[in-house]
Amino acid sequence: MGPDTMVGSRVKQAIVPAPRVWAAVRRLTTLGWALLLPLAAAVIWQTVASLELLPAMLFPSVGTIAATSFDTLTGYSGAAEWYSGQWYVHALASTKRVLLGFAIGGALGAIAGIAVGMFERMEKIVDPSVQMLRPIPVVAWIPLAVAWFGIGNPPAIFLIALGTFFPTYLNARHGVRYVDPVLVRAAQMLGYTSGWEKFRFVILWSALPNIFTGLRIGLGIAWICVATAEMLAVKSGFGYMLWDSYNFLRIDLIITGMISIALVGFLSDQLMLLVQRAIMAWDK
Amino acid sequence: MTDGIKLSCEAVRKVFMLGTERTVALDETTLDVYDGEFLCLLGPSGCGKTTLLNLFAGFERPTSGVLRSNGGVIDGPGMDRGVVFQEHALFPWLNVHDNVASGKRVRGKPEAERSAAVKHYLTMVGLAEFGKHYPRQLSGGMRQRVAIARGLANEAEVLLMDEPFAALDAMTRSVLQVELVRIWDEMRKTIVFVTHNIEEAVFMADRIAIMTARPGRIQEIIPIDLPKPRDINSPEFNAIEKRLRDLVFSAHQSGVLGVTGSAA
Repeated sequence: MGPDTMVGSRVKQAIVPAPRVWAAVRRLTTLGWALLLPLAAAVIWQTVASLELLPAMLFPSVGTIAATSFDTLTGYSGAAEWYSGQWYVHALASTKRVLLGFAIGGALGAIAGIAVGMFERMEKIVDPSVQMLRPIPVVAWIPLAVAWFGIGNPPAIFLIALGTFFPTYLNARHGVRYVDPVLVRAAQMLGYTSGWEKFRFVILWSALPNIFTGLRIGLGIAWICVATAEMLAVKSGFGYMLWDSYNFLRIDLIITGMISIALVGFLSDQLMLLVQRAIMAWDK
Repeated sequence: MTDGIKLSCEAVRKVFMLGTERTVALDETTLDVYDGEFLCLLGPSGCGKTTLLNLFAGFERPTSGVLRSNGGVIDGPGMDRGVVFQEHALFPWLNVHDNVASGKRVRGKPEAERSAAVKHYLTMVGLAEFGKHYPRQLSGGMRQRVAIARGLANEAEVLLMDEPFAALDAMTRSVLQVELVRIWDEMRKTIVFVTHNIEEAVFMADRIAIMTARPGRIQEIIPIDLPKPRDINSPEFNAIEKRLRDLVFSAHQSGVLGVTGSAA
């Protein structure tokens, strides 16, 4: 048994490449697996398109969509017409709104959630109202938002902030509420006895994973909200691009817009995850 | 300080209300803990030994009676009384070094003095090399070592230990028992150690307070005069252990047979 395993491990060591190469290979493998389903979807899409059940205008081929998407990025062929080379303009418009709305909604949600989690009186006053407002879909706020703020950025940012607020609030509240009481006691016996000290030293750190969970869900909802808001309340961004393309029945552009939201949304979530890992180094 | 008494409780009673049900966790409990002694609170689960420890720690207030530390009435947690919990209770977001340095007294020190103190206590518990590790990267026994170092580094005069080794495997547990006796011998801090393990109590304690359940009371205080470190295989050790086993068993019997929770 002993000698055999020795030989085995020696052989293994000889084959295993340097750690850095190994990490790169692993990352590529992960990427490969992640792309498996999108590729399958593209193949199925193309198969259906080739059957010509619908006119090509309504069900464009993968090639057409790719060419249009490429043109929105580069302005190379003009296939995307008035969106040719305009991808960045709309990406920037949507991202700005998401960032601003997310910052406002996330900050307010975290602060309100922490306050309600910390103080029972606050919970009694604030929580019932929040729970009542929560089931109102963000879309239902659009008429009011446009009536108050007019067409433009303010109603869009308002809706995004609203969408971000609720998940951040709920998770922050939960995180603060369910702090391990033994950790609070440990802090007390170490000298942190005032309410503020307990908060700064234990409760905030304990609740941090939950707050981040809330923010990540909130960021995802922010992208849903931005697309919705842009369809009705503004004249730029991916949501506007979608709706505008529909008015001209440019299905290829609609798909481009949808894929763009998916990619930018995914990217922002990954960035958020990086921030979380940097701050919560103990967790990974 | 009065007559070398570090901690005391006088006629302490603690009643918990759960809905409409009253549970008398502790009744007529009087106890003095002397400066520098190693005292074990020994008893079956539900006998109120953890409640008594929490009262000394200041986490709970007595329903009636008085608890004192250094002669002053205990009205909340204080840095003079360090606690080692059953579950290590280290801060998961701080590495070992920062956990040991997390006490308010330690933090108040200048940088050089602080890291010297941390190093000193980590060395004492045998974890000098593990400062950069996070608690989740440590074994259960190592975590409890850090928890002990954390209490000592904050210059607690008393260590209140609530079954700190109960969740550990037998081998780790006996290693830590030996080390705790060594640390106690080195520093002569007052230690109140809660356990339901008779051998553990006899191995470490200067005095053992045997508690009975429902309502929790101190039945008897047994001094253990064997020199430390003790040999658990010696006839003297076994004799004391057997005597305690009989006492605890009879205490447990009276607790089981007594009418539960009917006091007052």
